[in-house]
Amino acid sequence: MTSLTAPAAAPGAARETACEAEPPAARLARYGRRLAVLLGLPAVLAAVWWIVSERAENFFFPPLSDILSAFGPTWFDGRIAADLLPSLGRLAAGYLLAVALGVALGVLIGTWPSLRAFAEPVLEFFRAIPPPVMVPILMLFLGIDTLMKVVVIVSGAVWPVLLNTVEGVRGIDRPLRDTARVYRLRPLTRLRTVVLRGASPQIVTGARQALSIAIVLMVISEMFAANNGLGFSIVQFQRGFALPEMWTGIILLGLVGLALSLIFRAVEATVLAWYRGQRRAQRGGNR
Amino acid sequence: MKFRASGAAASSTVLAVMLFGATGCGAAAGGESGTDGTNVIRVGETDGMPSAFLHFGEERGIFADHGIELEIDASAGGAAAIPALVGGNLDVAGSNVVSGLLAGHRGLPVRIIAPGTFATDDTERDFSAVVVSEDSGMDGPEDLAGASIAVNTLQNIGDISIVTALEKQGVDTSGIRFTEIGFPQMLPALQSGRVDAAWVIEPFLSIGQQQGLTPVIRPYTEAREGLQVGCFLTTEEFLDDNGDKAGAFRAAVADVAAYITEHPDEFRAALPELEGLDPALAESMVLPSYHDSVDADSLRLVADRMRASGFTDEEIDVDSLIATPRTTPGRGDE
Repeated sequence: MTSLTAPAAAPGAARETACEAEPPAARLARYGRRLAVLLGLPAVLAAVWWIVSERAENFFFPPLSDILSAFGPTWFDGRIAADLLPSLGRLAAGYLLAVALGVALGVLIGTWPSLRAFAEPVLEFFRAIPPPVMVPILMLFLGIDTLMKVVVIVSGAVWPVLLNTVEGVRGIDRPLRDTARVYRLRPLTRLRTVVLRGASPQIVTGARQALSIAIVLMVISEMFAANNGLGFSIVQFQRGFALPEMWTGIILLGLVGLALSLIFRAVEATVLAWYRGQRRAQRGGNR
Repeated sequence: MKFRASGAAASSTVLAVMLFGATGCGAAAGGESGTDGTNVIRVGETDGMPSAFLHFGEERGIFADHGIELEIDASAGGAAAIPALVGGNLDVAGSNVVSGLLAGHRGLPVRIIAPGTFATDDTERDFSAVVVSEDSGMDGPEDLAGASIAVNTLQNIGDISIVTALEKQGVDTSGIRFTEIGFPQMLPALQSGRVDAAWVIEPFLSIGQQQGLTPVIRPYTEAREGLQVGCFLTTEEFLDDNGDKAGAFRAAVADVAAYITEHPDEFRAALPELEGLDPALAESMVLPSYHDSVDADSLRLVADRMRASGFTDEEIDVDSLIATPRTTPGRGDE
């Protein structure tokens, strides 16, 4: 659970540059409060779940105590390596590819209005197709292994990145572009310092949406032609009526989502540090 | 016997629609008998041949003869129907025997009240087989050692029966890799070499053979001649409150089984209309066998193999999971 301190530390670090240093005791108290706020609701929900489920006789909602005691034996006897890691590997590959592809295409389409007009109907068409429907077709061309599953993730996760990048690139201040041109920045420099940077708030927004889509598709892609993975395990447990084990899988899936979003926030804080500073300055100085 | 891996329902539609046409057979097909609701049984059964059995019995008036009317929901069968059964949305669920035994063994309040489909008694002719492509160089069960085999659902009747059948023939099964692929996608996966072999059921078996695929083993009948692979489940609660209806259902299923055994051609002739099956296929494909009562020896064999394959740690008490409800005289039956 050490990663939980990361988001608390990151904005704090960003703020330190803006205001002067505070006494260590005050900082400690501030971290404590943040931690309490962060863990308060999960703790309450877990407690409610524990109490309500403890008396429940429903087969499909076993007591939380049973679920937690099944957690260790279910996952720590080899399943982490056999199921969780392959899932995370496919997720990482699919997600990073989706972001790279979405940004690359988005910059192209956002830069040239004529290309955008040309491509938009096709993009809207493909965007509307739910990736699970494409799986049987993809299987014919890409096989049933990792490649197919990664493509399923890419095919769903690319859209928010792509569309947000297009909007971000289009929305860059005209004078800013013109200035960059007047100063004769080389195309690559212009791309890096003006286009990508200017569009980065929207790109990050798209990437955040893409992350949750990618997790969903990671699970869905493992329902076809799979023989390992987190989603696959959950489905197997469910079909085998091993309900406590199934719930441990669902909890683990949630924890993976939580961990990824914390990592995402840490990355976002770094990438968009300039943007936050700018916004704060626009709102009138030191907050 | 299932036409759809439960998780892969969306995917199978593409080919299933091509094969079965639009099967517009959701709720009750024959509604001429009493509709006051008291004699209605809500049954969830897998789309395809399993639900065709029930639709055929309704069409021939056999369920009506026993004083019951079915409301057939072909959207869920097998493991997916069991939660709906226990949750009270269904009265009876059709399932393969592995899911049925597992559900009862894990403590769900379900009982097996009637048999579903059975394998034939002929190891050279059954409605399910493991097929390979002609140019694979495989021509016997022994070639399946170390192969990758597609099954519609992992840890279920397919892999269980294949391992049992192969071990009976002395084939080393330790290196076999099973991969889960929906029946409609299996033949393309096999032809493009994604898997070495595929376990299919009718009508996919006939389609595959027309495309030049060769059966190398018929795992159901090799595991046990006349193996029971399907069953109907109900809940303890339904047995307590509606024992008569459960008894009537059991008796009607036995009568439908007897009728189909006597008149297989009538059943074949009804399949194109009931399930949108191609008439030529319906005529040529191998039908499952149907019997009038649950085969406890089949279930015990499956239960033993489930334990040997690690699906469960303890022995499954098969007999306690079978119920034989009867109608009280003067109602329903006769």
